[in-house]
Amino acid sequence: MSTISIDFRFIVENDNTPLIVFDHKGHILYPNAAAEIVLGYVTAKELFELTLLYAPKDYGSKTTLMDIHYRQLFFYAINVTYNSDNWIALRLYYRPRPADDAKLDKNQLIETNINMLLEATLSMFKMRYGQKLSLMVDREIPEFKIDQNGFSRLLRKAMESFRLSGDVRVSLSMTIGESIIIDEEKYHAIRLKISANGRFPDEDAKIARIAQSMKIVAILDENEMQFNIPLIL
Amino acid sequence: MESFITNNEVVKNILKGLNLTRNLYVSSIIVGEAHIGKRALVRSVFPNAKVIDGALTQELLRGIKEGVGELVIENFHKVKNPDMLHFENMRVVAIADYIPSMRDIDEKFAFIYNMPPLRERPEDVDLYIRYYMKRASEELSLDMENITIERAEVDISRNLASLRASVYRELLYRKSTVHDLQNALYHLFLCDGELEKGYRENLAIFEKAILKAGLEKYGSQLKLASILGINRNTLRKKINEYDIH
Repeated sequence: MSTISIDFRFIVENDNTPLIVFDHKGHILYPNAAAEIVLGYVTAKELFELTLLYAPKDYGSKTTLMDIHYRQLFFYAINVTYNSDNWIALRLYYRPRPADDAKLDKNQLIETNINMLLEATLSMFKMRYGQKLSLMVDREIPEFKIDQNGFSRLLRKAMESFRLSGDVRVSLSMTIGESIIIDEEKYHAIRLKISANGRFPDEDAKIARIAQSMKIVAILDENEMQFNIPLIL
Repeated sequence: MESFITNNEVVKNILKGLNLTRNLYVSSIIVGEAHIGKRALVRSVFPNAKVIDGALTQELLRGIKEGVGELVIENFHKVKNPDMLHFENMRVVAIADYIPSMRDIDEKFAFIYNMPPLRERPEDVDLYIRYYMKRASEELSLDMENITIERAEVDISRNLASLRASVYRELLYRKSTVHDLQNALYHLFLCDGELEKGYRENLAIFEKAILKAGLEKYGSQLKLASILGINRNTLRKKINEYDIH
């Protein structure tokens, strides 16, 4: 056996797979760097509850395949490990993302009054589902270039996830200081937020895919969807 | 441009949606039973669009390739392979009698409208009765004074197609003169087998009509017998024979 000393802590610290070690009360004993990002989107309490729910019955390690996401972080499996009553570890495995090699041909985009697309989609949604809607729009948003059909499809699918939610709130505003980088070029971001008291997440993967193809950053929560749209002038 | 008429809120909203997107490069589809007015509605918003039948695959592909600015695809349910259609930067409105595959519709179209059939639009039934009466009065130079056709008198089983036919038929019934009826019977008796049914059988055509109308007008058999100048027992016998209620 080799006598070389291996710094496992350094390896774990730099692993892209989030790892969190809890004590028996749910206090965090150790998170690696990747876990610290996850903790920005979900509470330690929620993760500890998840850990206990999927822990093996006896000392050891158990991996469970499951689709789970915290905002835009999507995972396909978790692993829970422990061999002591003093600590328990949770690892979250990121769902592989299709390579984002779709090129956005800016010449194909059409200058658009985004309010017009929004109004048409919301009108269809109200007609179809009879839901109560409130809309808050920043009228200062200039016309910008977008794939009109793709964006309308994205919007329709996003709204449909609120088909049975009461009192849906939609807002469209300019962000301050937030930007989206496309082909090494920086664009201001416009934020479309749709929220209610709940929604159907069944089409989230498809919604995320359509958004990604248009370089729109989608953050999909339990009660809210947020789309950061590049302002391409 | 012929405007589309409706009193139904759902259809008004579809019209509003199409008008909101008429200058945008988006794809929309209207789905609903045959003969509910889908084509007329689309034509009222996009009067200059190129129209291609979905059953004609090659023509459709050519139309899309040539990049016509505005395209209406009729009978989208007959498109054989929707995967081959790409609507980027085109203004497309499709019309379908039903949804052949929800996946295809979902992938291709930004706006999906479901247009209700006429039986779910009673307000439109009344509106279209008046509309077809007006058209008939213009086309056939008929005087429509004192003529009303009720909702219950028209057939909407095939939506506007059967509604229009039944309005025209009802008008013919109401506007026919004795001479018209005699002419109609003359042509009927020329048809194979009609005359050969015999005199008594053909007399029933007249008797059934006069007894039914007479009972509706006068209510009592006694009064009707007196008006028609026939025996009351004979009248009762005829009514039973023709099973008139």
